[in-house]
Amino acid sequence: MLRRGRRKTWLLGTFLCLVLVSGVEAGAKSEHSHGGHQQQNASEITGIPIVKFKWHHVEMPYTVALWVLVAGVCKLVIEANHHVTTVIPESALLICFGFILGGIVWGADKVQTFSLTPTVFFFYLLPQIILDAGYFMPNKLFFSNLGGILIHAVIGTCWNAATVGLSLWGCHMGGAMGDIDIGLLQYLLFGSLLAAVDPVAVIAVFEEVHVNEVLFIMVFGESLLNDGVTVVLFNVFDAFVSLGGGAIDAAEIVKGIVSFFVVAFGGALVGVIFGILLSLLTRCTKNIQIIEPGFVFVLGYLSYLTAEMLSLSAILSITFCGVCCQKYINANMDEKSVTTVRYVMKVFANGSETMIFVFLGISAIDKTIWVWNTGFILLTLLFVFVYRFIGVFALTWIQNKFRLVPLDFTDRIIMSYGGLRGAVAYGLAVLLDPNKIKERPLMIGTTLIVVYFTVILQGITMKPLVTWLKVKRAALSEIMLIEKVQNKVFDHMLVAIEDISGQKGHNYMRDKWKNFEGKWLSWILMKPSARKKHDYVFNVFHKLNLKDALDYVAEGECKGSLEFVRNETAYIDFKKKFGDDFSDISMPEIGIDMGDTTIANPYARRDTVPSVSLEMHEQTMNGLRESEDINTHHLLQQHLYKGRKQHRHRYSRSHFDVNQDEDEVQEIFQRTMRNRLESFKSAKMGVAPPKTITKHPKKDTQQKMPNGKSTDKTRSYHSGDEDFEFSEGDSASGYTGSFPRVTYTAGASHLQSNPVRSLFQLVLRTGLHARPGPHGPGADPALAGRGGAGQRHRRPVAESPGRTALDPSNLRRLAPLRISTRSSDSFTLAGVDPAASSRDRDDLPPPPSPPPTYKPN
Amino acid sequence: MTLPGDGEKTAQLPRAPAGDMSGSQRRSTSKTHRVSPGFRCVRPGSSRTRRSMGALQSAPGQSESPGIWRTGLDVISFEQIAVLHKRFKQLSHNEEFLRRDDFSAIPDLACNPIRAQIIEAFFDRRNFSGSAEGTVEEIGFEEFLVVLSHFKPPRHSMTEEQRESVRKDKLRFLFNMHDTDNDGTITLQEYRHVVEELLSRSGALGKETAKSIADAAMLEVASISVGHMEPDEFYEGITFEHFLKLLSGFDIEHKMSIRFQNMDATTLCK
Repeated sequence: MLRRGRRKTWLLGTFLCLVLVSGVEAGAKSEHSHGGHQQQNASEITGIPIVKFKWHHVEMPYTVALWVLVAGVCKLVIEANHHVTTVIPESALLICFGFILGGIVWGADKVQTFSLTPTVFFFYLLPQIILDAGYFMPNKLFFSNLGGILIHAVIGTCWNAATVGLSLWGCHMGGAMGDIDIGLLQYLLFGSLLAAVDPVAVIAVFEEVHVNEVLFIMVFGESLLNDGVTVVLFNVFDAFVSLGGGAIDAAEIVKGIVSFFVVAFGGALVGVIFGILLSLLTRCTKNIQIIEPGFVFVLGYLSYLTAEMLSLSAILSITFCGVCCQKYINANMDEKSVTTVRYVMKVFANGSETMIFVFLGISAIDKTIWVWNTGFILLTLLFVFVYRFIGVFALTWIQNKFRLVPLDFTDRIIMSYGGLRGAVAYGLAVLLDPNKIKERPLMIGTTLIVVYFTVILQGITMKPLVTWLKVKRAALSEIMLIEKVQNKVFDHMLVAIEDISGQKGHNYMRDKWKNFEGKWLSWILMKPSARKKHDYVFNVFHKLNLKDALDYVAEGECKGSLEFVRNETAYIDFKKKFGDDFSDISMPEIGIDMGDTTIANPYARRDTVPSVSLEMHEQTMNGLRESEDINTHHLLQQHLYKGRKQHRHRYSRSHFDVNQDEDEVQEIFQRTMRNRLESFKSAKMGVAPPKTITKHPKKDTQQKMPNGKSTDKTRSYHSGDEDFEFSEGDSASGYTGSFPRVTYTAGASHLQSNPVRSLFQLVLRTGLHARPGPHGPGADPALAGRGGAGQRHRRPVAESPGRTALDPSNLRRLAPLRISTRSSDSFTLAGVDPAASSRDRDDLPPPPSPPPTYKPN
Repeated sequence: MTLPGDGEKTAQLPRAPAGDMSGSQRRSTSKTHRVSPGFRCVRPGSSRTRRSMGALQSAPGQSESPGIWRTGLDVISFEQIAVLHKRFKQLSHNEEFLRRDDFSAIPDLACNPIRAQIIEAFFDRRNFSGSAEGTVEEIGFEEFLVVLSHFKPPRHSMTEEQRESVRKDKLRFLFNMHDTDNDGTITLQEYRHVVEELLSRSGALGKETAKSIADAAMLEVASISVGHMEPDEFYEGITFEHFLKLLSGFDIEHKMSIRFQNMDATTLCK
């Protein structure tokens, strides 16, 4: 395993190098031949060239795309070696990969052609990472710790900047650095760019350590919010450096302080405004669902650019845009759009992060930025590290006086140790003006070293440290409904207690805000339809139900107990009749249809339903003469026709063609009923169904194999009497056990139709990721109830000999229906007493069945 | 931490002697009450209050007696008691007892969906320090304080054992809030009732939805606490042991805590 992994790595590495070198060489070549090319073009204008090599034409986007690819492949290679990433964080490995790539480029070009420029970083790589952070921000956690976060972000950052700058200056005065030309202001400028903890690095490292959520939000929130401070400090000191020491008076300093507030709060305000705009916009995108996810990104980016344009804090702006709009856009947009946004957000953020780290590594391989000054570099490292500790400890000490849950010693150590510097610092360092600051290369180099030190060394040691200090980790638990309900109880209880005891704590504030939000903001920013079903507990309930339904389908399919809904035998039968060639034609169509219908269903290939039914039906016509059957047939034909008509596969730019047609559901159901009838008849009368089925076990196996059916399933299928193939599939799955006892009438079939259908709808919905649908949220549990009724019918099938029933504990949320006294009775009796069972069956209420009967008597 | 850790500035809750309340057996089981004889509790509002509080302040070393944890009486600082006392007076309109009406009259409480349960908890004898049952019609300052003390944040210096008992105490309070008929289990009806109140009043959810959520949650509980269940088996309800187990992953000692302020914020409230 190890060896194979290594070989894979090598392969990939080689490929990577090849791609890279070829790209670079091509670039170099094209540059050389650039002049000649044009000449050639001019001279050869007489003929029409068939093929032209136009590298310079595509050079720019091509290089970008290649780099994106390379960065992606780097990540792939790194993640392929799992045993390495458990020890060394991915960010560190990416930087190291960057070193190698940088070496290759350097070797090819003799100059560093590619490095992380501030424009690329701040305009194209950073925004999506921050937007992602804002959009996925756990709001409650964030705002309940906002005080502490702000203290660290504002005071802590200022402290870091001032102390590092002053101490370095002090050491410089003391003569520790030799002969370099840096004044006090420049030291302060340098300190300010190094002061900020970097969000990208922090996310990258902390995501892998899983510390408890409070600790995480403290570090992460600080890293996001301190950007405002950094930018201001940087700008102020930059201006001071330009002005020169003499021109600074009290007025300038006051202006600097004022500008801090303007920049920080202005940035946040711009973000909030854009968040509101975005929420309003998604209110009315119902008709353009296919592009509504785009708005999120475009407006998010615009908020970033707007803040940048107004020289406000862009990071704060885009953070707050994400934080503010997340709730409303998630409620307003279609569920599919929300999923899209989530995924695309992650793709962008992850991609950018990868690129940033790779380029941080590449940028290091550049002779021009390396000016070594041992004293300066080591002292910077030391001060950055030490003052972070001092700052965090002092600030948390003050904070703990006001916190309900104090941060303990280990938390503080991790907070200090998690003060990683990253690409933001590097980007700012590159922004330094070489004309004004003589020692710019030294500063850039030192910044890079600080970045490497924190990301690589601290990143690697973070995990052992967390383990060693026994820091409380994030509890990994699955969501429980009761937990969510209890949380809500807690919220209200605490508010009540604060009200009663006459305190105005933050519970009180939160409650007031919640009321205000619920009353006004939701009303303005949310669609009326979304408003109704926007309830956290209900959403959790809904989600869990969906999950259960999915599990249920998956499990049922594993055990084959859904067979009566999706009958394999029909497919076989079909094949027998028409031979292989026809099936080859129809199969892709089926696959596509069902693939569309059940997006999330991995078993889609087994659904051979639509095109089969017609033939099925034709055959049954021959054998069945009872009037109810003919009735059914008419129904069947009707629906089949419609069903097939709906099944045209179309291409559309603006719609995913999802088949939500009721008729098709109906059709599937009818087919199911047909099958049950078949098996019932065959079992009761001891007559083989009219379908003539030949023995072709081997052919069967072959045919079924590519359909995703497991081999042993097929084998068991043929284990019995081969003459009886068709009905055997059914009887083996327990039909003989239960169904013969059902007194079947046409009426009964209609009675039973709805529960089963609704079960099917449930299944279908699950596959579609559908939201509650036309019934609205209120009706959804009722739907679940009907689904449950369907399960009640299914019970005997599931309980057939040799197959284990679904465990109630597996399907907790849907289960009320199943362990209701009534259904359990009917079930237990069904196994024992045929008469009772059939009576019970006849008694079964027609749908919509009464809501879950889980009566404690 | 807002709490001074030493005994000097802390005051043990004043407790009434057994005979203080006529006809009440609530005092009969004050097993943990082994405090110094000079420790007399006083009806709030009387002129003795002030004096006794002074006495409390000067009684050092009492706050750490182990029984205190069992009763759920954390140590509330003297300032906090003074603040709460003021609030008590305000709520009761300078009477000695609080009635349910006084609670219902709190304006901020009006929109709280589980207001009824919370108020009831203040009049539930199980939440007082004895082991008596039933409810009372009016409570004095002492009971008021005892109930509020369930929401004390745990102290940082606590041992694991103490923490555990604080936890249990808080959970017991929560449990009692659900278990209205005091039979030791939260039955589906009882649970459903709370959830219905909680959801249907606060959100746009209908009663039916709330009910099915309650059912589903109950099933979850059943599957967690009992494990596998036969189809005809029936889950009685949540017992306290199950309740402990259920919320074991919960950071309850912090979640069910509020900071009692030293400052007097009462004047800000209407």
